[in-house]
Amino acid sequence: MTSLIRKSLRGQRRVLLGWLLGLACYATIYSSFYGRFDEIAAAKFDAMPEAMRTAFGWSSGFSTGAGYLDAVIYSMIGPLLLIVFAIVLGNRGIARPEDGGQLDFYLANPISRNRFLTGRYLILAGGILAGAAVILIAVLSFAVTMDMGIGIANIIAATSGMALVALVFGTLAFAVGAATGRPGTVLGTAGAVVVAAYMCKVLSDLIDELSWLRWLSPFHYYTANQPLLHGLHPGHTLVLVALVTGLLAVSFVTFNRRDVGV
Amino acid sequence: MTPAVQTEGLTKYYGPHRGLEGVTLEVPTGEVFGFLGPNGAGKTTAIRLMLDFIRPTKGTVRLLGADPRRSGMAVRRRVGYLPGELRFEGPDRVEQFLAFLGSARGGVPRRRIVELADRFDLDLTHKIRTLSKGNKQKVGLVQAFMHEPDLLVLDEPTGGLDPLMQQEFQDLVRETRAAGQTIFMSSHVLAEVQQAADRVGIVRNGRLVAVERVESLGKRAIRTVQVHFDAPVPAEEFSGLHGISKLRIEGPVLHCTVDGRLDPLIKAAARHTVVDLISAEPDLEETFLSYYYEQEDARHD
Ligand SMILES: Nc1ncnc2c1ncn2[C@@H]1O[C@H](COP(=O)(O)OP(=O)(O)OP(=O)(O)O)[C@@H](O)[C@H]1O
Ligand SMILES: [Mg+2]
Repeated sequence: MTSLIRKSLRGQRRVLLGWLLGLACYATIYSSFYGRFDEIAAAKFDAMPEAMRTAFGWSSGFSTGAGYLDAVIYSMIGPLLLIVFAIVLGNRGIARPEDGGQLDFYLANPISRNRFLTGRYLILAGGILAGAAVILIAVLSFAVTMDMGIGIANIIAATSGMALVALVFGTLAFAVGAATGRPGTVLGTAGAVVVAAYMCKVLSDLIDELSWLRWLSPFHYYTANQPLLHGLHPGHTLVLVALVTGLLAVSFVTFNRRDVGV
Repeated sequence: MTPAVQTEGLTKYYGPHRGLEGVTLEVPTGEVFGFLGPNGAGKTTAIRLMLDFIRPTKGTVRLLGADPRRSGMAVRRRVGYLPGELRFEGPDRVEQFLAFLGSARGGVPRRRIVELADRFDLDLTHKIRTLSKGNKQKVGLVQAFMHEPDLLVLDEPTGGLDPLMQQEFQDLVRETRAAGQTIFMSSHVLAEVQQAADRVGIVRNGRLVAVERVESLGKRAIRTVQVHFDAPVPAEEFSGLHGISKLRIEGPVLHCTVDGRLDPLIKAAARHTVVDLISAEPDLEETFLSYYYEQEDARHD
């Protein structure tokens, strides 16, 4: 297993390093801007129409540390970046190498399909974990030095929630790849589901009659409890974990049943 | 002894497209079997079914006495496989790639890898991606042979190799056979498998149309014959003879192809004065193709 992971990692090294570097820069730059964000800009932001702020997923004010981090990282850009990263990795798990005809050299060996899937999935999960860790380190260091007034536990909670949402979509991409082996299908499906999920959340926040839509969106299970203020909601977190588990089960069942490399 | 490869009514449809139809075949342990056929015949399909990359629509396949699906791990530990199309993932050097495969198969001595690489004149330090087609093929060959598997399944093993390396491959096949290992290899070219194979199977349009020992393919060889007479001869004396086709008479010279014995032609020619007789070497390629045409004719009749 370790040799399979090492071999697979060699193929993904550049993608992983590139993304981790990018995420680190993003989180560092935005967290560090907290000090330079002057009162007027904050006030202007607070004066933005409620609906507009909702559409961007900014729930609380801009002037507090939690509000600021929520606006620039945790409510929209952070999760979306991590999700794209997760989908890239999910696609590279099975679909991309299979489309390139590269699976023969793995599966002709005494490596079972289950083992192969496990190894490839661990790279996806590890990549997201590393991405979240990089963001967490950047945010934490500024939150502490700049005294943003947020508990460390809540920052960890919000970052974990964000990583979990990314893992849901990454696992979705992985599962579609395991089931079809077609990168086009993977990227199309995952992209459509992300957009649909985000729209469900925004619409449910804006329109009262559509508030039931939020239950369909993985984003809701991450943001509803306002993790920067209140930590993670155990029930909601469990829903996300269940989604990941279910999609993973789909990956194993479908990949074992089908023809590979056709 | 259980056969190394055993298929029964092996059939594969890709959706509505036929890949392979009802192939029943047995390759005993220790044999070198050549699997011949034109493009799209179903060679790769059969091989991919053996390795459980794809699953049969109907029929069964057993490798080394076991089901490659249920006992996949045990079977694949004892099989060396060369894909028809070599695609490598990642930026590995040859060395790294072979080390990975070695460890996946429970360890291969480095000495063995170096020895094979030397034979094929393959530089282990190069990045696989930057290798030429033929050199990639060598990487494929080295990894297939390096763990000394009981069964080798090779899809077009000499693709991209230069004549010198093709000869090296033939030598390796002979040694492997002498060591008691079984080889199942596909090819388009009879001459290539004829050197090393014990038997050849000919597959066409998804069906196994013939399985022959290599020697007997030689015996029923088609040859082109020219007979020079001292005077023009009547065509009708020769046209009905057994085994003769493509008959053409130009003045005192008779051209034809003969399938099998030359006797009927010689007897008929002896009634005239024969100046010269030229019989070209049996062309195995043509023999091989004649299988196709015969099947084709049988179908149209
Ligand atoms: N993934 C696929 N989807 C649909 N049809 C396929 C697929 N793979 C193979 N076929 C069809 O199955 C038949 C057999 O193909 P196969 O690749 O086994 O031929 P082959 O004998 O290996 O040919 P070649 O000598 O060109 O390698 C062909 O008609 C081909 O078009
Ligand atoms: Mg082929």
